Amino acid sequence: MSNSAVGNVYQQIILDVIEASRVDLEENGVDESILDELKQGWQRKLTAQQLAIFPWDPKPDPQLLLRHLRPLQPTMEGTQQQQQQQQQPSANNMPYSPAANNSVAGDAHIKAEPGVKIEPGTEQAGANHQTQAAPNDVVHQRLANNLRNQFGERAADTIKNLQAGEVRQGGAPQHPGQQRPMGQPATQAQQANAQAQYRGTERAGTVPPQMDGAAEEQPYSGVLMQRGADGETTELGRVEIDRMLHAAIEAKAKSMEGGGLMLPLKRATKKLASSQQISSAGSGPSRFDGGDDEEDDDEAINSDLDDSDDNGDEEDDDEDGGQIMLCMYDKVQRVKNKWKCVLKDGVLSVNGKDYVFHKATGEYEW
Amino acid sequence: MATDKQSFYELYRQSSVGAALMDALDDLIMETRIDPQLAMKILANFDRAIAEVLQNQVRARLSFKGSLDTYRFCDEVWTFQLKNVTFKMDSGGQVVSADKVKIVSCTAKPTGT
Repeated sequence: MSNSAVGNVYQQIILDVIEASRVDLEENGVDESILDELKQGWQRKLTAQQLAIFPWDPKPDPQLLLRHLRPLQPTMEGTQQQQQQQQQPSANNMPYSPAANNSVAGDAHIKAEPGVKIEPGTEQAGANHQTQAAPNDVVHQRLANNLRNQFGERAADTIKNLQAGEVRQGGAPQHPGQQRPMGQPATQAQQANAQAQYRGTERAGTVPPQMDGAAEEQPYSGVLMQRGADGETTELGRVEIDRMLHAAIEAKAKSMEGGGLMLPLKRATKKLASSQQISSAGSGPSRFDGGDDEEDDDEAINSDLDDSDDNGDEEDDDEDGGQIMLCMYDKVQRVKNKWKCVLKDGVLSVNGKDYVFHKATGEYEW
Repeated sequence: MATDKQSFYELYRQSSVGAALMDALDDLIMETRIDPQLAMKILANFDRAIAEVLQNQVRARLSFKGSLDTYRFCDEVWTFQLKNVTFKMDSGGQVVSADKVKIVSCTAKPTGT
């Protein structure tokens, strides 16, 4: 049994499944090109888990490189870096985000396609949402940076307006149930202002990664789309949008009190880094961060499976490792508290690696 | 075909390769590019494929030791929770240890026949 065999074994499984499914696709009248996509999606997901070295992986895997690079970025100084960092997860995320398949058939090429309009928008929303749990100043910084970078001079007014609005309101928490049509006058005005800006740029033909507030002006007619960690695109209800808005505004308020923009860059970026770590630890709201998709997927799956397939109670506590061996047994024997078993045809997942075996013998004491 | 599907365990769907497939299928379903019934068929193909590949193409052996925390035998499925396990791979002498491992094991004897 070895880890190196896993790649080829999985490859064989994938090919077998794809071949066997051709007939089923035909019966259902589904185009066979779906199979290629399925295969690629499948392989990507496996690659993302880094279970083994797979035959289909390119040698220097750009995904892994990106992932290793990302934690370093917060230590770099300058707003440009932060901007990049914000962009990076979306770029990183794209190959893993199957919703991208909507627009392009050969999804392997999606990465090179920054023009898919829904992508930046949903990422943006996701990023804002994600930082709710993180130090709030991050949101504001990102927001401001993003505005500045995307819209240049024109954004200056918007940013100022937003900031001024916060000061006026003394940084007090916004009304949580703030509905769009009857929001507080100040915020509403700002939003209108911002929306006007976005609309302008949109018509000018650029691709505006949409900001939280402007969502309703986008083609979805008042609805924000959000891509979850599992890649499904869901419509956000009004309440959720409000919540995101609220969080973003609150974050801005906080940062104006000295939590963000006024901080020395080092401290600000440090917070950024820690928030990234939190998000890569991966559960709850942080999973809306695009870059950590794969890990979150991983956990989500495991928990799902543990819940549905094992109706035991003590199983709950081994979600943490996902350490599991699936196999057949030939023989299970017990003498007093000593157990012996002969297992075969198994897949073992330990310490983040997969192993396959034809035969296994186990001895353990109870 | 139908009998094929019934005679293979769905056990391996929990494995990482199975979970990745389900994930990929899920994505396609979400985009309404395939329907769930087709996905189930593909999963059934997977059940067979992985069983056959594991049976025919894998020759590696393994032995492991540990302490048994809990065990259960239900519907011909053994479930063990092991603690402090060390796995020894026969080829290469690689040793892997883990605090905690769960083993889910179906009977290798054909059921129902």
